[in-house]
Amino acid sequence: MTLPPPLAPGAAHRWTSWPAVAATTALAHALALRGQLLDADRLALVRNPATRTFAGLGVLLADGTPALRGAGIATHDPAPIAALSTWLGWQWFRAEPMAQHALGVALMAAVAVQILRLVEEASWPRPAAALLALSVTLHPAAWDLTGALGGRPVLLAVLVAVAVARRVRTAGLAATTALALVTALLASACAGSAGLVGLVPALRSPTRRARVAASIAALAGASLGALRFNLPDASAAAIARDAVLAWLPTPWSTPPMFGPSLGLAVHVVAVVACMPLLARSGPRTSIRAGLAASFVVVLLAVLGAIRGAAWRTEDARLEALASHGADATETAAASMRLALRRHRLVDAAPWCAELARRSPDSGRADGCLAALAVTAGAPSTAVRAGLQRWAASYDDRRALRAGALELSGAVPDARFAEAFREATGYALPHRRPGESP
Amino acid sequence: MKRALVVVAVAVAGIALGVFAAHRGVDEWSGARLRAAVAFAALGWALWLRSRRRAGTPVELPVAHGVAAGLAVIAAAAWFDFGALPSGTALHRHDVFHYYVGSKYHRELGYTRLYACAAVAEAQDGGETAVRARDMRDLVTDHVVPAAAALDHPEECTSRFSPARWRSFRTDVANLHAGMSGAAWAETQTDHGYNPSPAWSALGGTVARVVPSTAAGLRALAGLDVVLMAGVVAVLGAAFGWRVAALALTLAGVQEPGKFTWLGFSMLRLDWFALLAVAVALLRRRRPGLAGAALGLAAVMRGFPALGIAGIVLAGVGTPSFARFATLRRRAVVGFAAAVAVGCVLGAAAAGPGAWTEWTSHIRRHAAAQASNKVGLGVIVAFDPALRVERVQAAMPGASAETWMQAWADGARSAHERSTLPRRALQLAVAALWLAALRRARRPWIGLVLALLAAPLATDLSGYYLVYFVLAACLAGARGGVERALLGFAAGVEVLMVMPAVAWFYDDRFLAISVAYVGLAVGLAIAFATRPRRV
Repeated sequence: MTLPPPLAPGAAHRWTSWPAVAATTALAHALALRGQLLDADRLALVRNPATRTFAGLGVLLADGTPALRGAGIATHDPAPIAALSTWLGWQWFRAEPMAQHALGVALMAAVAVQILRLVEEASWPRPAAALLALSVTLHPAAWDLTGALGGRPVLLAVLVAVAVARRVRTAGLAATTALALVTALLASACAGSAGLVGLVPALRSPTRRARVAASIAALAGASLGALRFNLPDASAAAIARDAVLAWLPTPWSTPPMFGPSLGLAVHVVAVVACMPLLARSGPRTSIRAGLAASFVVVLLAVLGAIRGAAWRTEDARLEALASHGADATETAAASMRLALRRHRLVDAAPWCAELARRSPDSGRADGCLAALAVTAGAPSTAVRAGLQRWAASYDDRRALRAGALELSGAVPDARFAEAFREATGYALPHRRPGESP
Repeated sequence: MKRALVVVAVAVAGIALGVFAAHRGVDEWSGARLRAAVAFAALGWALWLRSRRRAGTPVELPVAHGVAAGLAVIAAAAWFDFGALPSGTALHRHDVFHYYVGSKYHRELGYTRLYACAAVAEAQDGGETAVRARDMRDLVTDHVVPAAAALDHPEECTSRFSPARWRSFRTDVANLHAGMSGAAWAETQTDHGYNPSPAWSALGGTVARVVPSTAAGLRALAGLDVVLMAGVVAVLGAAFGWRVAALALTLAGVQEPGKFTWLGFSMLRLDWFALLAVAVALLRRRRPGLAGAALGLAAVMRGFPALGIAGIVLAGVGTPSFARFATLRRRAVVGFAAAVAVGCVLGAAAAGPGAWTEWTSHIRRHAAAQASNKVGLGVIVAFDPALRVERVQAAMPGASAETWMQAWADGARSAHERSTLPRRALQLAVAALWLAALRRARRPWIGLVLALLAAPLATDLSGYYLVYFVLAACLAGARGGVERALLGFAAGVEVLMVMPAVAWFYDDRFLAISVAYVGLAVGLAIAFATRPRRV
């Protein structure tokens, strides 16, 4: 009689790590379930009759999904998988906010599990693998992906990339290159600017030649995808700029125009790129685990430090604009934001009025005016209308959060928080440690 | 003990969750979501067990079995929409009217006078105004006509009844009408009539004569199918073991075609299904004569189960096992033939000597009539996007329901006729595939199940007949992966049923169901026609 081979150390507990990582991720993102649909979500789901029929699916695939870009301007997102996901989203969950957001949370948990398994398969110790997986799904940008339906295509792109990466380890040069190219194209078809995640399988290739070839293929696929599937008015230069800026803190871009997708994409690429380096650092498991943990801690610390520095840098930039700005409108805007960031709503008041007078259609001053109206006891309907207009002036939820953080610090008024929640569907945010708007 | 505890814990927790999810009521869409959730849970558990087994750390048996059985109990609760049944559904009066009245008065009504005589009875009981205001289906022409037409010559009905039988008929019609709204009653009178065979009329008529049409009597009748469904699970459990029984119960609970709103609390709509389950179980337990008899009775009740005998006869053909089961096959055929003969005689005795001839021509006419809940290969082959109900409605703005429905039915009928040649060609190809599958089936009971699964490819059926696909659970032990495939299939169908683009219009819904079930049958046939993979 032949006995079965002995179990590998820890095999009996192999299955305990991924439920824990998935549950932690899901719990961390559970607040997204309370979110309401944003304007962009309503435009894509509720006010979009194409989601109702098969013929509508054809229209969505041909014309793209209705989307908002900059100050509430309507455009179309041509990414076909995003269109399919929107169509299926309505077909399965209609406009039910909790169910719609639950799908995002589930996808995020799936991403966590896939990354965990990917890292575990690279012979990493389980705690380090779990830490790495969580560092991705608990990245600050990750909340933007579960908080708005616009994040779903990006999650799909990341999921595809990591799932493919788990299978390239034993593939040959040609297969790896083809997989990287297809992954980049598929990711772009999910979200036009997310093709970079094609680098994830490329970096997992077994040989150096394969890594180089696959990386070139992935970059080519990402470029092709970005040109084909990005928003109509997005230039290649803007995509490249966003790819860099997304990894860096928000205030370095004026205004914060980039979306969360590239942030997460670059984060995943960076984390996976570090794996071979760390794997070479020593044969002993304890060293690798320690290095992995140190890497994550250092990564988060660096992020926090950059964010803190950026806050001060942004203050300095605004001060420069307020003192020596050539454009009176931007001077008023900078002065208003400076006062708000210093929690002086009264000082901001004249600049709000000035900005509203000089740029009445942009809606940029409406948030400040709404805050002033609340403190003066104005009816909540008027405040809500103002806040809705102001919220619509932002590109995405991350940018909205950045603006809202400035207001939340300056207006510690429960009535304002309530009006904000009613107008945008989100709780008024407060700064996390080390976070800049 | 541990297993029982796990079953109870899982079932109680799942049913509590289901009741909570359904406490605000269940409609078409939320019902499909609930069933999909249960199917996904069962699929997830099956995949988990497989993963653990492959990893060398299998889940301990009491837990594995307990959770699966608990999920099956939850699925059974899902069939009842976790108790969130609309008020008044303790009896499916629409169905019971057809089956109760149609079988009890078969000699007088035949297959063409049900609605006309009901209209006369209603008018005589003081409802003439209502009758003149509503429509009914003329079961000779299959067209919807004003019900007042029946009142022009009431003697065409009354002359066929004895005075006592006519009084009884009026009472029964009034009793069944009593619990229905005007709209629901009017809808009942434009359905497609009473269609079971004379043999079923013998059975149903006997039951209907014994059980009065009072509220209590009808409720008792409605409970029979629940008992039959429980019996099916018990019989499969006895023949195939707990796992097949749990799988069958899960599939029965989360299925779309035989869901509660179609079959629940009706009258003996599952008798043939129970007979098929008994036939498969008896064949598995090597009782071929009785198995053949059960199959024969199912065949004389509903016709299409007769296909099953081909499966028994051809299982293992061309292989050494064919000779091995020669005696068993012979006994099954004898049992089948005897039951068919008895059924025919009983049917003729109960419904009259010409009843079988009348039924044959009626069922041909009924099969040719177009209904949006038909399923089968013919529905798929005849599909024409221009004839979808949505398009027909859009092309006739402002037209009455009757007008566009007639236009749709005419178009669908001609599309069906046009597609005869490709349909026959496909059926020939499918027959070759089934022959290959039966050759490898080796066991007569596998052949029986496989042959039954071919029914929607051989003929178009009303959608709810697909409930018998639950018997595919028996194949779970014969080929690896069948259990997961069936659970995935059930979940997939319910996911489709959640989508308005698929399920809003009934013709689209049943087209999707046709594609899914024909695909499943073909997939299973391919799985059996090819050599099983060694694990």
